[in-house]
Amino acid sequence: MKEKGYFLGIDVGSVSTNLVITDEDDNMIERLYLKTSGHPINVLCNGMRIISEKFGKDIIVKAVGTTGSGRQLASVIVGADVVKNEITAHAVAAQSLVPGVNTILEIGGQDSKIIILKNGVVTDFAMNTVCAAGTGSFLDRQASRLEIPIEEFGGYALRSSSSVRIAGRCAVFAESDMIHKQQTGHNVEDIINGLCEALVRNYLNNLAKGKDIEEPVVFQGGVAANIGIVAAFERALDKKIIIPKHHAVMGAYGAALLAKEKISRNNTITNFYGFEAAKSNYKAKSWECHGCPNLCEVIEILSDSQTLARWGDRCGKWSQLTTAV
Amino acid sequence: MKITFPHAGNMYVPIKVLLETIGICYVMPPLCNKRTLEYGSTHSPEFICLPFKIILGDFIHGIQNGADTVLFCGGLGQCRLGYYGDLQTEILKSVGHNVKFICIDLTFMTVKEIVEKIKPLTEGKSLGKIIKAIACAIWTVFRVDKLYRLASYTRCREVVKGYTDNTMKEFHTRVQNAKGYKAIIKEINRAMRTLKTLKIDKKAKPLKVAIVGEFYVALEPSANLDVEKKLGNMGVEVHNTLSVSHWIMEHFIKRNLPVKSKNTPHEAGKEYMRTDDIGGHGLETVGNAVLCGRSGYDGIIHLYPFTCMPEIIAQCTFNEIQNKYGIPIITLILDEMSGEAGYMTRVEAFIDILERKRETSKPVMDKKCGMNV
Repeated sequence: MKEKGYFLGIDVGSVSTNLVITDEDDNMIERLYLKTSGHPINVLCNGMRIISEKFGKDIIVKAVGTTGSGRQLASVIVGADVVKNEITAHAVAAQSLVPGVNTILEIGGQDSKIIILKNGVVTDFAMNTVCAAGTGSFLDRQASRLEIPIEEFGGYALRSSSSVRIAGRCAVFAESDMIHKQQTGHNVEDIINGLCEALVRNYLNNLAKGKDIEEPVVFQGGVAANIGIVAAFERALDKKIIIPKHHAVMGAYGAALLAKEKISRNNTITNFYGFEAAKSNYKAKSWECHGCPNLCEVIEILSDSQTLARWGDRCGKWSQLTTAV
Repeated sequence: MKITFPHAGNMYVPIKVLLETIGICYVMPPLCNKRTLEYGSTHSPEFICLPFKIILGDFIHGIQNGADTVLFCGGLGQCRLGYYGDLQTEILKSVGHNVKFICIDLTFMTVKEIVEKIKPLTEGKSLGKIIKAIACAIWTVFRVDKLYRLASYTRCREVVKGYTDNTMKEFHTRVQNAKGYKAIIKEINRAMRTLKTLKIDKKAKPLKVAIVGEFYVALEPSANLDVEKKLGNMGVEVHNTLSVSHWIMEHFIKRNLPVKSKNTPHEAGKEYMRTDDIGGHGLETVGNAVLCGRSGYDGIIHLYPFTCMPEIIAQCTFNEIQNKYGIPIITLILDEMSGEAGYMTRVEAFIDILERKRETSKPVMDKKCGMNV
């Protein structure tokens, strides 16, 4: 009898680090949503520990995929089979949960993106360019300024009867607009509703410019939990927005699916180091290389004083050193 | 008198030839690095485009190494490049560097104009020698660009990864130490020979991607995060539509020829913009995108520095170009950021799209063939 295998997907994002375990039939067995809080390595090891304590001996990990802005880092620590960008991972995940999806709206901590699919193939995408206004971290900041837990933030917007216009172009403008409106006596619900609308307006103007948004439309990423934003999107697009059940961990889910696909296609054995790897002590070190005028910032990942990987150099002097070992 | 000049990709090679052939004493700033950007952005207006900061940083590097004269190329037109020269002169003065600033106007460049502008540098040198130097420099430009094209051909096809990069790295080290036209040409030929002997995968069918956009950031690897090399190592053949040789062809050689010919990208761009100039290389960007769309490229990467007005205008046409020619275009806006993760995510995802697009378009074509049979 063929033994049952499981697949691990890891998404190391700017705000959250997500881990997902799927089975052979792509069902999500376990998901973890942890705050990255500026310590990706520690959080990742912590997540691995939680999973290994819960399942440890019962599961055999057949493949591992990593994604997110910290995908390279995560891949070095766990030994990944697939290291994929977030866009592909998100698209794969959405297609698996909502077959026939044509538009994916995704708003995460540091970035927001739109992915357009035709006949199941990604044909176009856009990511926010030079500014993080209208992403999760900005909403987080505003929620903490108003002393409202981020989970309840969207609920406030729904209670508003009329929205206040907030400038959504830039986080700095938006914040000063919000403060001015609040000082002139508008109530919090209307201001939050205004902010949700501004964010959606900014998103559609910046990213969706000139793109055909066709149903089914899926909205995922951490911000999809905000019912205020969802309502604002539905109003602006006049379309039904589908929120997948696992909207917050879609990147990790996609990475697990991609890992499974690769392993079964190539019939290879995983590079996974095992959950034990998470128990060793990881350290990241960086320095400026003075070998030439480029002055590259080299990053070194150490596991119990043994070098795992180095990157950041343009000439390859340091990164090649580790691949040779 | 000792002069210094700014970098722009491989431009330093022909400039070296020019100055060494005439026999002008010069200091070359180090290739753009973190310190260049630090010097540049400390003294630049905050919202100026990235090339201004890097170029200013180059000048300061050069002056610190003993230069007392700055050689620069500016121009007219509806782009900030037009006042780079004047503004940089004032900035250098205000931070206490009293240097002489020679600014060659690129818009109407003729041999006479160049000879006149560099007169203070060439006193006592024969005119014949100067003209010979200009000719040698121009020939060098074409040779270096040819080398770069060859490198982008071999990089995506090489069997052992990294050979092309190593050859080019060695070329840059050697050419910086080479003196004079003959030695420099020898280095170029040497690198070309090495690249030609590399073992390449002849059956490989790499994706073909074109780079369009602003001249400086498209050419300067430190400004565009070395996107050309990175794409090449991902197995993508890159054609940079911008090159110094192309520029010289359009702005110098064609302008000085008695028979006037039309600028091909400009003509192609007229499909979307019926105007003479939108500043900088804006019209070229539009035109080149159209030309690449017509000639079977898989995708286009558009590069420009943050706040670059001409390119922002050019970008507006891309939706229509994408739809009409079915060619995906991605725009990368560059600034001082050196965190590459965000850019690489976009580039990687873009290449994924191109690959899937090619995969899915193939079976359709096969089906058609089958029906014909």
